[in-house]
Amino acid sequence: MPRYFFLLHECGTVFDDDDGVELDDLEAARAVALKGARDLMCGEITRGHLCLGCRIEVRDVRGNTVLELRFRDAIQISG
Amino acid sequence: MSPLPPPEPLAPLVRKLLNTHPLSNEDQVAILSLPRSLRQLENGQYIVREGDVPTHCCLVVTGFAVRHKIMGDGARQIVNVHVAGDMVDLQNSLLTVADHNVQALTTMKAAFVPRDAIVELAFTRPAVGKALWLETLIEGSIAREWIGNVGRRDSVTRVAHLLCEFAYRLDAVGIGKACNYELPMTQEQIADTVGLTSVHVNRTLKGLEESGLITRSRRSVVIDDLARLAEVGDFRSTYLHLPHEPLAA
Repeated sequence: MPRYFFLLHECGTVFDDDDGVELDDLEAARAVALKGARDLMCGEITRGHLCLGCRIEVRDVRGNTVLELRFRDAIQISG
Repeated sequence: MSPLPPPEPLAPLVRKLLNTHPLSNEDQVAILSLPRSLRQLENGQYIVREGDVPTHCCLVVTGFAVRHKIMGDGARQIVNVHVAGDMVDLQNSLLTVADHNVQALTTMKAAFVPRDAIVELAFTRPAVGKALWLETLIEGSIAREWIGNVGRRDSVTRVAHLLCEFAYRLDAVGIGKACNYELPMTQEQIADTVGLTSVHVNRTLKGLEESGLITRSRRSVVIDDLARLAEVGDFRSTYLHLPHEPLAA
């Protein structure tokens, strides 16, 4: 199974991913990024702050960016 | 009443039990003489699956194992991590059906002891019975702490708490030093332990590193400031019921 790395771009800081996760395909990687983004936002909201400009960049083992997910695209906002 | 010398395969169990309860030499010999089969397990191999009717209890001789439950949607919650000297399914000595899974986290050596032999030993040697009872009580205490951890603490506190717990538990059984130990868990596995995602755990560990509390390389964790990590992790070691003085912070 291919390994994907999930880098977090958070308000000007990049958090590298040294581990990565073995996943079936890019679709599975998208699901992991989506869940991760939502989970991080939950933590932020609990502390009373949310930045929708953050994003998760997914790279393959060769270091190529294969997916980018912006936090604002990970949720639907209404109201 | 000092522990008998290794390399008896069940010696880690004696050592662990002596942490909480005194055992005579005869009691120790009786434990070491329990019938058992030794097996080498690969990383990821199942020891017990939910729904199994267990015939043996498993002792971790070397390596790490996890207990976990799988939710209806396939999500995994790790409910304990076990190290050398831990009986990973002592409840299966009396309960008839396994209610969760036990899986090797690393390559590990395990000793499988027939459950009837454990029950008989516990009832014929009261000190051994009490020591095993204490083991299950302390496990219950750890489980209560973990409920509090995943239910009421934020991500940073949860992860810091877990790292502190490992420092104390690994130190108590002589695996690594309190502030410098191997933690053979991926971010994903830590995430399944603290109820977060791997991306969130990565962010959290990096935050702890940036704060100067820990240093990580590969699977090793170095705690640079245990007192502060304990403070951040809302960690007090009481629930571990360790025999020694708390670690010098």
